[in-house]
Amino acid sequence: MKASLTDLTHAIVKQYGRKKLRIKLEAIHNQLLSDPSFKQKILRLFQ
Amino acid sequence: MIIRLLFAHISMMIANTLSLDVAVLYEETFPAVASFVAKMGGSPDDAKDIFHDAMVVFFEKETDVENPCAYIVGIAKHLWVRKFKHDRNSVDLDENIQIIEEEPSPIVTRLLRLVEAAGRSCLELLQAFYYEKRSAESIADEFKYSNAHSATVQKHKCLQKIRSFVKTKSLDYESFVD
Repeated sequence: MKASLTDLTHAIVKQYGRKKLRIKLEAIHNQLLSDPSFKQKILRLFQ
Repeated sequence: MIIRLLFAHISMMIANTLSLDVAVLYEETFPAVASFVAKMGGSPDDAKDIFHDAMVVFFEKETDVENPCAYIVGIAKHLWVRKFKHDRNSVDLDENIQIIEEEPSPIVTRLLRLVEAAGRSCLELLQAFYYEKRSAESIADEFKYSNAHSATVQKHKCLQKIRSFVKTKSLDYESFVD
């Protein structure tokens, strides 16, 4: 499959944006789960 | 000097607001997704993975929906059924939600690594325009351009720069590139 340079450039930017978003989500997750009450609220769902 | 400080302050406020929005949405929505995953027999790690995938789909699609929390839960249900090949009929799926499978190609992953190594400033600017879909005004504030026009001019320069970089680095991948 052939892709133009413009398509490739936009795909790279999109993947970079996605990577940044995932890093941000991971950071928020760790921050929220560091709160014992939130962590307990989530873990209780799996008991 | 005062104007510069003011811009820096505004830009920090914008950055904090964006970060806060995602965090608030996370805190409000993750428990609902975790509850669904738990009912389906998944683990807390499954819940996190599915939720992050759903958030990515949400932010890449139309985020202008009436009830973002319900919409993200709806996406998560679709992703769960797809990932674990679960029986669609046993899950209450919102048929208005359409998810297009889009795996990044290995060439894009490799080129991104090379572009990142060469410098991230243009990637940062371009992802703010194209991925976060922010206005030129807010980007100008954050990236300290004098106005929206300057930010847009820089966007075009960055696109050109990355295109040229990709072209030189793509010589090994001629079969992929026109």
